[in-house]
Amino acid sequence: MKGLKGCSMKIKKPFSNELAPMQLVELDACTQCGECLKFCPVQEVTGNTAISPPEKIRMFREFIRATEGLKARLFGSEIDDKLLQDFVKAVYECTTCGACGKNCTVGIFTQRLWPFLRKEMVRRGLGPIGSQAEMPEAVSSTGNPYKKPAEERFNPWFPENVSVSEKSEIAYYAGCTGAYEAQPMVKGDVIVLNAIGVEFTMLSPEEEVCCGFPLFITGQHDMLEGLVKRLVDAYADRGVKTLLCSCPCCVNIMARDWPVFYGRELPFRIRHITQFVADAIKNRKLAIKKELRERLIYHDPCYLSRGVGIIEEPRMVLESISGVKLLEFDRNRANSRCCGAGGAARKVFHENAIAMARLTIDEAVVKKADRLILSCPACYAKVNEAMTGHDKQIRITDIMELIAELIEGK
Amino acid sequence: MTYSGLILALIVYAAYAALFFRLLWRILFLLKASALLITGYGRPARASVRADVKSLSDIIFLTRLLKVNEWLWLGEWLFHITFLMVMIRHLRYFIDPVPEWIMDFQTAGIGASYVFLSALVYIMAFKLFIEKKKYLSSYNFFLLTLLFLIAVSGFLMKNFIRADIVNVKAFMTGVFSFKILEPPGSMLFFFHLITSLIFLIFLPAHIFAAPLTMIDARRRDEGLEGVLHED
Repeated sequence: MKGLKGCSMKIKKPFSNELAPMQLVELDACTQCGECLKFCPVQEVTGNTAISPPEKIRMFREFIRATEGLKARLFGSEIDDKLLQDFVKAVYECTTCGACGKNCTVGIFTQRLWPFLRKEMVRRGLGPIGSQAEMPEAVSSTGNPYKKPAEERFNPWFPENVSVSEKSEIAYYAGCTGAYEAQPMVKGDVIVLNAIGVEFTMLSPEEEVCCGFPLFITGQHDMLEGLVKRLVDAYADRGVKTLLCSCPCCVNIMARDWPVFYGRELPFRIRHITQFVADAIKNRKLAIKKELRERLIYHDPCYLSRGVGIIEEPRMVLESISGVKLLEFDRNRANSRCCGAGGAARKVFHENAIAMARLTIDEAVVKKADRLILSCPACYAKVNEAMTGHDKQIRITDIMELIAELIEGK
Repeated sequence: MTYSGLILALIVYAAYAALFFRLLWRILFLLKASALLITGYGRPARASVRADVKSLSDIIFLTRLLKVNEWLWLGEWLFHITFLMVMIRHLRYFIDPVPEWIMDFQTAGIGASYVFLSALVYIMAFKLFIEKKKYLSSYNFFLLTLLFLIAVSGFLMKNFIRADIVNVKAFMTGVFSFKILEPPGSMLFFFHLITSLIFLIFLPAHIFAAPLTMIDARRRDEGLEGVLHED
């Protein structure tokens, strides 16, 4: 952690500058009841209440009080270094899944609050932590946070029989995690779009840069406006009216924050791939003829269900497959449990992420599912990783990977 | 005017001044934050009659707590509602002449004070011994303990060691009209008043903030469908 030496420091810079007024009200609103701990995946695997949601809020309140309170203004004050260090760890260990906020007794929007508390830490040079700090440079030099070459973005997985138009009203954005870390998922997306018979366009691998989500979620906002304007203008130039994407994190930032960073409404609408495919099934543009006699269990990604309310469409797609019995996790839909991959915490707190992913695997196995169906590239990569060396095993498939398999008759 | 009356009156003024400056400071702080036009919250949740009616029910019935912990909700709802009733009943000691509806409310208010004390004990016992919560806020327990002491001293004054109610009212109305009189010679009243003033100084901010976040949360929940389903 940078910049923390000694026992306490005089800090005059206010802690509230990065927060919207409602977020300041939210800090006041927390009653410290602790009910949210029951839903926090980090609590589930660490049991460390010092990094719990109400503790983060309590610590941040203390920072505000110490720098902007009446007493601080009159007599000056100091902030305990250890408290700052504890806070940085707590706020970055969080997966930002938002389950605490969904179950908050006073309705605090934590899925949004945590990234902005992180932003404040970045402003002070205290965050991000570990490899997260390399992301801006990676995005700047390669266009993606994984520092992978642009020529490997589509080539390894893009099917030869699928054609992409130069211009179209419909565009598909693969996203960095899908393209580099969950290729069966993005391959499934384009196979299904092709099967629907829809003409779609894509940006070139050099043009399709990071959507900004990993930077946003780690509090590193400096590049966001540039990235968003570059992407939005590129799609607008291609005459795009609907932008499709399968990554819940990308979809979330596109729908919620791109208009803010773009400075006005987007010239196209954002759709999650399952919305588009569910519509195609309903309108008989896509028929899944092959039967699948399996018990499937679907995991709702945090940023898809709690984030943008895409809950029923994936279920509708899966239920349209004949022979399928769809199972549910105990915590499902908007109350789903994080798989551990969220908030870029998986890059630093690897053991937590694996333990959380294994909770999902274990429940799927206990419920006797034949397959665990995911619809998020980060979940896909992390849950697959968590299977290695685990005593319980289950087949993991992305929702579009499954549909593509059935369409292609594999 | 007596010295003891003056000292007690000054303590009352100091407590109210502390609360006033705390609230004023908070309002100025939020106004300053509003002027910065931070876009961090994203696009604000849209208001709708449906969402706002539902949020009213969230505020009155604490439905968000009910959804996550029904047994704790029982205690917390009774605690909050009876706290309000006890406050209303106490207006009798600050207003002269007392409006008829406040006099009519006394029986209900006294009944509520017993429920209030029981609810406090229930909440603390539930958290400590039944749920055995791993996370307990020391600030919360400080406030609950303070309220417990206020409630117990009130209970004792009402039922066992009665204070001269005429003196109490004369002193309190005197304090608020800046005509300081001799305070009632009851240690229990003194204790009840001082603990109440400490509570006033430490009045939890969620009393003002939580209703606002509950309204916003309901608007957000209602608007979630619209994030990607708008045509």
